[in-house]
Amino acid sequence: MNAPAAAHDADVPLPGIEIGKLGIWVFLASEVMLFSGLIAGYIVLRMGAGGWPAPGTVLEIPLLAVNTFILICSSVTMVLAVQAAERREAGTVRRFLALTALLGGTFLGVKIFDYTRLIHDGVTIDSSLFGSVYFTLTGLHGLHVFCGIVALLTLAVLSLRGAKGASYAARVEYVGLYWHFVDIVWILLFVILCLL
Amino acid sequence: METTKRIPVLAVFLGLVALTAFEVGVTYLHLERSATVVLLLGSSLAKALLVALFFMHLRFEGKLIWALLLASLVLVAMLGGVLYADLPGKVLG
Repeated sequence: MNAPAAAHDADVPLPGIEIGKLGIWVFLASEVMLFSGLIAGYIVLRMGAGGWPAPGTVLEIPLLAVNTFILICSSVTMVLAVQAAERREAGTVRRFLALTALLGGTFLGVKIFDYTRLIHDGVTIDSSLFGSVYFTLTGLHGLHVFCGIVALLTLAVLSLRGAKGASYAARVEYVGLYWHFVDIVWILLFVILCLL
Repeated sequence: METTKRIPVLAVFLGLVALTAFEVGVTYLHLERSATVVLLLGSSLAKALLVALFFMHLRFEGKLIWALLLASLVLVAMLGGVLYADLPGKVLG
């Protein structure tokens, strides 16, 4: 840990951990509860439903598998952005942040295509229990992806305006933690909503 | 900081891609329902662990972060326990 961070730690009630990192983990813990509650609701609704579409009959599994791959790639580029920030390589950080945002945007684009196709086939948020659950869970996840893209682009703009050093690297790390969490949520949603 | 240099990025990436391909393959195998559920949930949890341990640096974090995460996971487990008690003997179907 560098000297400014160590000095800052002395001012917080829990020394040994950056207060920003503690904050993002508290936030992520609350997000775990948010998605757990919704997934629990999905399980109750599905078990109480008379029938449920078999995997691949309503959703395009190959399309959503490609989207999973895209989000996994974005997690890799996020890791590379964090590593570049630690090395204080501003240009590389911006490139990987932009690439991560681009991959996130591609993920959302594919989701919009998926939604359009479903709505065209008559599956909407109020057409069936499946539609309600699918649009609610993936919609909330998509909103998280969108917020992540905004955070990534904000970091890139801050870098362009000269932000650097340990404080900036820490911010990149925090946004990275959020982005990976969003990736984990999709990893779980892909299986429970699309494959089971 | 400085923990990400120790992350085997390529290995984790390949593991995630391989497990995703495995999940899609399992779906098309049309195995017994309970086997499909176990395989798919196991694979997705393995992927989530890979991301959390390596990309989110949990492997290198201290006890405080682990305690924070475990507290929320205990609540999730309690929620799961209540659900299981309410819906006995059922597998997603």
